[in-house]
Amino acid sequence: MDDPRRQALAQECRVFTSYLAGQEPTSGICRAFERGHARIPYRQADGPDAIDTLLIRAALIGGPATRVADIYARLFRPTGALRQKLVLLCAVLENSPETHAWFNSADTANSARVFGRIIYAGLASGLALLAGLVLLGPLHLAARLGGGGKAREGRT
Amino acid sequence: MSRVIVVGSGPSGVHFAQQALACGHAVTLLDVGYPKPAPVDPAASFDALKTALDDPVGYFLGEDGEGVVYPATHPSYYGHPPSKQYVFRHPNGFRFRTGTMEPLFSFARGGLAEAWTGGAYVFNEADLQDFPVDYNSLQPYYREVIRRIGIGGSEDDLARFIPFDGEYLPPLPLDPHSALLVSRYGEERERLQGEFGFHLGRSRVATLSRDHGGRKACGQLGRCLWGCPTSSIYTPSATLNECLSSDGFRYVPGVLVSHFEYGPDGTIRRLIAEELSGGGHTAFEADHYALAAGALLTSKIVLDSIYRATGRLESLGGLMDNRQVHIPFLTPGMLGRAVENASYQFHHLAFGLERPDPHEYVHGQITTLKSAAVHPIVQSLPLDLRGAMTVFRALRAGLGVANINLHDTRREESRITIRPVPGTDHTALVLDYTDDPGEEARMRQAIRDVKRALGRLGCIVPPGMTRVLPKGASVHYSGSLPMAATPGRFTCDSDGRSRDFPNLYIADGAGFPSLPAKNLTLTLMANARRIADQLV
Repeated sequence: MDDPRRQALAQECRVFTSYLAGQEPTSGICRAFERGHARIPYRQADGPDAIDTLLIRAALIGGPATRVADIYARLFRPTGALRQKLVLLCAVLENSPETHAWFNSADTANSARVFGRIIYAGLASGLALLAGLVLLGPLHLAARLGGGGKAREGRT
Repeated sequence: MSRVIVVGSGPSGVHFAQQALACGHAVTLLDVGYPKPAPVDPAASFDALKTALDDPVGYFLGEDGEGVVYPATHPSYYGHPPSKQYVFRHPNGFRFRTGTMEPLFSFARGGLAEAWTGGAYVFNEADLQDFPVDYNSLQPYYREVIRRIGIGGSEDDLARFIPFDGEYLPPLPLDPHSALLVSRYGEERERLQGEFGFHLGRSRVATLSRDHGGRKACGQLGRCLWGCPTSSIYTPSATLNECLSSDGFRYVPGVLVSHFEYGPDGTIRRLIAEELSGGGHTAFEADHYALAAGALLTSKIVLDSIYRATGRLESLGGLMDNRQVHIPFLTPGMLGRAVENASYQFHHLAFGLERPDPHEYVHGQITTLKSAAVHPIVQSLPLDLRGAMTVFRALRAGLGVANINLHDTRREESRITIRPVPGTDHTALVLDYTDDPGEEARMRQAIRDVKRALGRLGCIVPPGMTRVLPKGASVHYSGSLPMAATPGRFTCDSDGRSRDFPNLYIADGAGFPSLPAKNLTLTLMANARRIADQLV
């Protein structure tokens, strides 16, 4: 994989699979992500703008940063490039042999645990959103005031 | 014996053809007829496919990811799976314009019903009050269709609205979530009926609970959404296959009927079809012609015929479609339970909302979530995707959707017309649907009643997730060439015979003078048989 664009996609696949499924992607998952990415809607339109690029970069830091960028994008950039990439990968993971079982099953823990997980997910999302507002909000605002220029060449 | 040409192989076309054959006529069925691909690994369950296939992502999402449902301004909880793309494929040159509805067209062998969910409901006298035929006239044909295609159901509270008169098969076994709702309905029945007019019962579905007519009983593989690999869910191509074994039947796929040519008295002389493989045109002659291409395409053929003969661009009023609303809900009593992906995926339960005017009956179906695609749902939650997956998995066993249909009536301002496409020999279909001014209030009341009824059943309806689908989404297009007791231009008599073209029969939903809330497909089939039975 010496093509910079493919390398960037492979990195996205690695970071985002770790975020969504808690594991490393297989080569099959990466191939499917790359194949789907060729038809991802934002690339058919105008490509990523400065705000999209900012969110993707933040998400690629990995770990909690991915969650922060994701929840920020969900609320303030819901149809943007980052959410499209994450949704595409989610679709790939729910249909891949290595990861489908988790995506296609229900949590069968007892009610207390189930409710505990829901509350934890809500709190984690809330905290991530708070971080997003503090860290990404000003940059988002600055990018908007600056006209939200087009992404640089080579960005996926 | 007459020579009969039928256009279209959807539910109306194949049942018209089969009845005409039974009456001794020679039938030629013209069709674009994009075929269904062979089922992939027909014995494998939904889960097994994801590990057994070399490329499960390619199967479930398509080679280029065309089955991925991306975030959108007006998002959907599901998309058309790649395995059903053939149903929605259009021939080159087919064009339509509309700003007021989002129609679906099919040129597949079997038509749009190749992708239906099997809801098959008999219309009662109230539903038929605008029709120039009554329930007794349709009843033998309902019985015939029920007997032939195999419909499951039981005589329950819905029999009040849906006559239970026919050889129904036993219903499919209930999934645990649906069973819980039925149990709670039993406890709250009188209050639900009294306060909201809410009546719950088993869906009438054309899915086999036992082997029937050469088709296999539902094997609970969980692949319904991607196309039943065992043909347990009835589709019109099954009836087409039965017709193919009749001596008097000729099937001509690969042709797109453009128009018919007629004489001064309107009698059709021949029908012209474009050959899709070579681009040439072929003429077909018969004694009778039956249009069953679906209301929109049937209308286009009539309008194109007049345009080519006279140069006039006519339009047809009265286009109808059911307004559809999706109400997602959660049943907390199901939390912590497993979800059985290898099970029947479509609706087990249906409900009716009784209204003071029986004509305004509201029909609904309840689908409990099992093997639906996950990514369209999790992206709609107001959380990051990882958190959304955690919440989704926690709630999954208790998730369901109530899907309601409202009735529609003919209004002249909802029109179908055509426009020439510059530089081509084609015209574009133009649809201009105008909402019924009274629909908004009826819809709000129906949504309110369903939400309250679901609450009584122990369900929670999350705020902000109810979706009113755009007109066109229910795919119950009808009303543009209606049967009417009183003669009029662009109408048919009670036998579906056009008053403008005496040897033309309107065998599909275009002939419906009103559109009840119940899914119309069973009535399309029964009415087409009734019309074919009147042919001389």
